[in-house]
Amino acid sequence: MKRKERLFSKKEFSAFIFIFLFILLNWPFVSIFDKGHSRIIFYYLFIVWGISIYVLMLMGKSWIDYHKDSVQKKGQDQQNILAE
Amino acid sequence: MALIIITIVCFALYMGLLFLLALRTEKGDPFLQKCSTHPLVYATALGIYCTTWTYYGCVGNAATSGFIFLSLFLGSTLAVFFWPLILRKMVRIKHEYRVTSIADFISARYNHSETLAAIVTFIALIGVIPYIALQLRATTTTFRILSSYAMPEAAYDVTQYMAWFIIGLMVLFTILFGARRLDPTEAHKGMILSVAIQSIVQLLAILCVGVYVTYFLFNGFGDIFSKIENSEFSSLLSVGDTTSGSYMIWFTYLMLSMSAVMFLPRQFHVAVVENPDENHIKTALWCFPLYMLLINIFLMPIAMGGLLSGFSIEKADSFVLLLPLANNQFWLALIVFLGGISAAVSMIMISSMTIATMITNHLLLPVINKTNMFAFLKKELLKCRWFFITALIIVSYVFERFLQEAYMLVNIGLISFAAVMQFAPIIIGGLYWHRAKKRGAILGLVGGFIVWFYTLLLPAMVKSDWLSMSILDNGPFGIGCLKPESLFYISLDNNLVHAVFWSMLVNVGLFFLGSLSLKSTEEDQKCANNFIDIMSEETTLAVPETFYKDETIDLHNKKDIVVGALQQYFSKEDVLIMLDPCLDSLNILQKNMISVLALAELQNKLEKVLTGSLGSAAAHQAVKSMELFSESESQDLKRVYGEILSSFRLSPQELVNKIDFYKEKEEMLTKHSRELEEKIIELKEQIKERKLVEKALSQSENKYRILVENLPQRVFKKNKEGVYTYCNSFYANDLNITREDIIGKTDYDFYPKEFADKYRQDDIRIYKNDSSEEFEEEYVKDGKELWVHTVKVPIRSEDGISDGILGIFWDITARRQAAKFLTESKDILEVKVQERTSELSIANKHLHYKITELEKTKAELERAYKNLKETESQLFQADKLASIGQLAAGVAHEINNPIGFISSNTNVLRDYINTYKKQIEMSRDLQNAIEVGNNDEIRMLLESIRQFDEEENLQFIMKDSDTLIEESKEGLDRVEKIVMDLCSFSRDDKGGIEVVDINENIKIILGVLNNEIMLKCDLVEEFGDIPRIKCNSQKIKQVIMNLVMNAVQSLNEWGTVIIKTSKIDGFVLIEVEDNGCGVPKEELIKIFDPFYTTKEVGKGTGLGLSISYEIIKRHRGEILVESEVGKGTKFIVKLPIDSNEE
Repeated sequence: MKRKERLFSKKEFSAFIFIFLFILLNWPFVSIFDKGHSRIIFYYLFIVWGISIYVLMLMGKSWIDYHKDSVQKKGQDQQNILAE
Repeated sequence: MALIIITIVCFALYMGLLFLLALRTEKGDPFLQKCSTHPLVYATALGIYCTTWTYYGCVGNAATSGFIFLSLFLGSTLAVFFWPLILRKMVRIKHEYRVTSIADFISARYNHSETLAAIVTFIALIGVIPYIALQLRATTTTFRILSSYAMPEAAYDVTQYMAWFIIGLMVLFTILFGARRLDPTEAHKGMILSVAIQSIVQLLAILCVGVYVTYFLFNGFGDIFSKIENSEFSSLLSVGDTTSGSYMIWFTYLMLSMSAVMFLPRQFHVAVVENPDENHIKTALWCFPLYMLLINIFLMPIAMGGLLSGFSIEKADSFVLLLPLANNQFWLALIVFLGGISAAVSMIMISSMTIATMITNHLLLPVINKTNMFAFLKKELLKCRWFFITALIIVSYVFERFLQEAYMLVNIGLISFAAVMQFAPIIIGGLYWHRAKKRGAILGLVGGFIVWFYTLLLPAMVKSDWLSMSILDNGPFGIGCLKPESLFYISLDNNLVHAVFWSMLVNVGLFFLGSLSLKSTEEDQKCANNFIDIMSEETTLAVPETFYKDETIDLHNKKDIVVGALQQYFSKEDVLIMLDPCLDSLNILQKNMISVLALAELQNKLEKVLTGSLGSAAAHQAVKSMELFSESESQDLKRVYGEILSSFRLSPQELVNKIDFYKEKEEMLTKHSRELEEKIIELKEQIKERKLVEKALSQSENKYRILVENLPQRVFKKNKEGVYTYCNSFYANDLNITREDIIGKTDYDFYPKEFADKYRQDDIRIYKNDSSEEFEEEYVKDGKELWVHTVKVPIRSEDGISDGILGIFWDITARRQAAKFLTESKDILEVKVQERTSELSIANKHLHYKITELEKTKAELERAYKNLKETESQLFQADKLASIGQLAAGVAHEINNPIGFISSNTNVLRDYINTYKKQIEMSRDLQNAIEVGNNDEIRMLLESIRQFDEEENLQFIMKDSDTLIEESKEGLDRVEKIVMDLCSFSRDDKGGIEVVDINENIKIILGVLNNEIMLKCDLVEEFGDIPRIKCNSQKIKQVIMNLVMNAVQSLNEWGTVIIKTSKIDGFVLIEVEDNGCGVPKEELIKIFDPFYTTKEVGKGTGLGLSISYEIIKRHRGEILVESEVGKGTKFIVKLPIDSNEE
């Protein structure tokens, strides 16, 4: 769980997800499902949209936790400086 | 008319409700205040992105171009992935620099450039006016549609009035809740809450109509898609025309919406300026895209539903409203209308407020400062803002009226998006690129805007017939390579794609070139660092206190300068209200003289405060123009800065390194101090809890003390040495001394030595055994006997060792005496009980003897009863036999008659048979003679036969024979009937209960008694319709026979006997009445007594009626008699219908 949160909190991962979804919502992926005269494109677009919202929700959840973790990680350094 | 009134009333109520909520929020209602700062409200308010263009326009777009409109929302969703980086940073900057608008934000990044802010304002203004016009168009159009439905003839006029009403309402609302204060950075909680509510209403309305169309007009998504797939509109199930061109449009839309969702002025205002907490972005990350998904999910089905319902494609923008109205769903249409109004009102309010602030701060104020023509307006900035809000909305409405159906208005949504996209490079560059500079930003923005205007707005004007078409066809002045829609002969299928490509190319190119062509100044670097490094912890080097001690500057003088300078913008009172908190925050409010460093800090503080009201550029200019530092003070400041640096004794590089080190160190220390603060808070909580526990303990101890003090028992406490440490007041009273005199002393001080020794030994033993003891002791006090019950308990210390005694004793003399008295009483009682026991024993024996005697008597009685029963049974039998005897006589007589004539007939028939025999013999002789053929003999025999026939009269005999046989048969039948009746009557009595037809029983009895009756009377039978009842058939027959026989025998001469049955109140009645001699009244009471009879001796037993009475009584019935001497007697038998014999 923590690992997943860390992953979602990383800027690089966010960028990767953005690019991945951007590609999914552009040519050529949209054209694969855009058969013309078929409802499949409707379902495709809304499913990808739903997935995007779910990923954003996970990102929102991980964002703050990541910062808490990083603060804890620096705890040792702080102690050293204070000792100094 | 009524529907129009309903519409207007609902609209007014809805707006009134929003107004009330906003007002209460602004007035500080705690609940609404809390709601307005909730993350969900922030996220929902971002729904302002969806205007009427989404609400109505996207349905129209879907009906013409399929799914392509979805890219405008998918792009926005993708942009949200950058919010943790970009939006968060912008919010942090807004808090730090009190940013008021997007123009202010850009200006603050690029050296507080007024030019840049003015350009941004101008572009935003150009983009927003048609957009507001579009919202007003949508509002008036939908109202006209709704009023046409209700009252077609007056729809146009009503709409005109309504439009002005809506405009007035919007102006009022915007001024009251968006521009009430000069500082727009202060949160407009009321307005944001109302925007959030409007977003929800808009969403609910579109969901309602979507569900209605999809599931009520059609059978769900599948049904709509199936129908559209098989219709001429099947091409709508695509993102365009499946060519590469449509994907370019799709891509362009994605990019446009990604920038619009962050940089549209209204979006910027809600997302950045009105953001109360950075962490709200976390909720908005998923909530805002979800909102967009929900609002879009039914747009396509609505568009398809409209087309399938037969509406023309030109009306597609109004499908949302037309579909419910076409199906007479007025209330649904009203909800849709309110949803549309919500979309329009929130957009117009926020946009007009933002643009008015931008115009005031970045267009009007610089002009005033430069020209000094309208200096008086500096003091009326708030009113100017109100004016611009009003003007903006009215101009937009006029624009809408002027344009009518112009191409530009229809496409303004995307045109505005393209304009806003020009802000994207300079904002993103400004946030992440240190070398981004003011000049680059101005060049990029102006270049991009010009290209946007030339390639997008100009063609729109041409298509709206404002300019000649030749510009598009041949280019300006016939220069083909400058055709607005195919610049340099590059045609990109779609004008929007073309415009975005060129404008962004120019914008980004000029921005980079302009930024890289110049060297960064100190100011550029400072601004860049402030923006780019905003996310790192804020750090300031602590300046030694000694540098503040040189207080040589007169603060009053400087205050006068500030007040004087700012009075051109604000009243004196407002300036002082603004200034005092600044002084207070720097701890110089009460001082007369301040240091030059404090003055520098004051200047910075003032600039930040002014930014909130005037914008960063104007605030920077205003502070600069104050000339707060004199020449010598400026020199002093430089000197102090130099001294501060020299005090560090570092080379410049070392200084930079140190600063970095200390920044890091301070960052860590700050975090550590935060942690410590958290710990302190935690400790405070613990202390608070402990205090609560102590308080509870104290209260508990107090209760315990009161309890112990008021106990009637004597309580004391001694330590291990036997010294008293506590005793209650009752204990002290017993010893006739005060409590204080007891504490610290031992038993030896109060009691005789032998008692004190005993107590001490007891205590030592208890310590030793470490267990409590209790004992009762007797004393003599004042010559009286005294008993005491004592309990001693060892008190353990925390380590579990006994270190004291807790004792409690009480007077039990009364109890002891009572116990003694009880013992004595018990002895006396025992003696008395013994005496009583022996008496009882004798009485018991006597009683036993009596019981034995009684048992004997009982046995005798039982035997007597049994005999009686047997006698009764015999009597019953005797009566029956007597009846049978009588019957037998009758029956014998009855049978005798038919037997008599049967016998007589038989004799006659025997003679007749003899005659027949003779004739037969004669006939046989004749036959023989005929066979022999002796004619003489034949003749002789024939003669003999004829003579015999004449003599015997054979004709008569033959006839009489038949008569006699017939009579005999009748006689035999009669005998057979009598025998059968007798059999029925005398059938064995098995004592069983059966369901009996009483009428049938009576008929049997009468059959048996027929002879008896016929000879003495007429019999009248009146059988009623009575139900069958449960009874002993044999016994009931016996009763009936007794009554009938009595009736017949009571007749001295020929009389009448009436037998009647009927049903009354749950009873079957059998009445036997005669008109015989009757019974005297005095005799009637004895009539049912056994052996009572009025008949002659030997004719009756006297038991008939007595037995009948008994039989009827056992059937829970009754037998009644009415009689009068000389007139007759009537017996009535009542038998319950549902009762068995007992």
